[in-house]
Amino acid sequence: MDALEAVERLARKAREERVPETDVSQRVLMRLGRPVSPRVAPLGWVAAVAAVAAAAVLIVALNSWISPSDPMMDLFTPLQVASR
Amino acid sequence: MSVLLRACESPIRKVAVQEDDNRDIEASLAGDGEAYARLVRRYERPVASQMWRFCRDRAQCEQLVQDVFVEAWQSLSGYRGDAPFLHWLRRIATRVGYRFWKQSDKQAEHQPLQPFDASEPAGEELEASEAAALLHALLAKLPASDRLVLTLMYFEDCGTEEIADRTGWTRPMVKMRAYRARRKLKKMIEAGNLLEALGWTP
Repeated sequence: MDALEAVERLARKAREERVPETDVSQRVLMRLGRPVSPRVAPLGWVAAVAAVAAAAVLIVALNSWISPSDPMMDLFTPLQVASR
Repeated sequence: MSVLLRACESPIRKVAVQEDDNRDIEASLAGDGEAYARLVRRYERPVASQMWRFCRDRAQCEQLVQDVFVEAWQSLSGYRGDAPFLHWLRRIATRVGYRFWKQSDKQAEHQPLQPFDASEPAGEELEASEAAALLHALLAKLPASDRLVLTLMYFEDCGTEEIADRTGWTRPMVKMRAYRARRKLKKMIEAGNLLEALGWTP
């Protein structure tokens, strides 16, 4: 008998094996921590936190944009004061 | 019993199961845990049977079955319903099992062929569980990708198309891996004189 024929024969026999019974439904639900909705994935929370952070940065940026100060003014103001 | 089994596979029964599945999937997506528990109870047997091919330790196998259903829950909204729910679950189960092997490979835990090192040949009297344990131990000596192809081929009796579907690999890739893996397996069996140990030499 060829080696691969022996494997085929082993496999035919192996497929007749009775597999141990399991009962995992309650443990699965426990792991899922009911009542978690599958629509709310962890990535959803990450996206929400990122959106809030982005909004905060936008507000600060807008405030800075609305009242910009000329950086040259900071340089010349002390000179003007001294010349007086 | 066989009549019952045949009744289970009838098209009417399949449609009824699919309707039950769709109802339970919708309810699960709406947050109904009991509906998901029904899905788990309906499919844990075939999933456990598949995971037993990846791991022959009962506690570890149960853990893997749980992992499959937890992962299925997390991606349940992605189930489009164009194939039976079990097919979709089998793909997840294959992914979970493969990942388990890759993690186990890092610890380099392979089962030795101890039961067949004995001088007494097993011959025709080999039990199904012994044959499964031996085949499992043989395949465990292969790299994870080769092992996956041959496990699905030998234990699950899958053709290349189904293996490609379950693994997400292309069919030519599956064929090539199967060819190479069988060649490695053959060399391994010949080097280990396994046929003599089994008493299967002419």
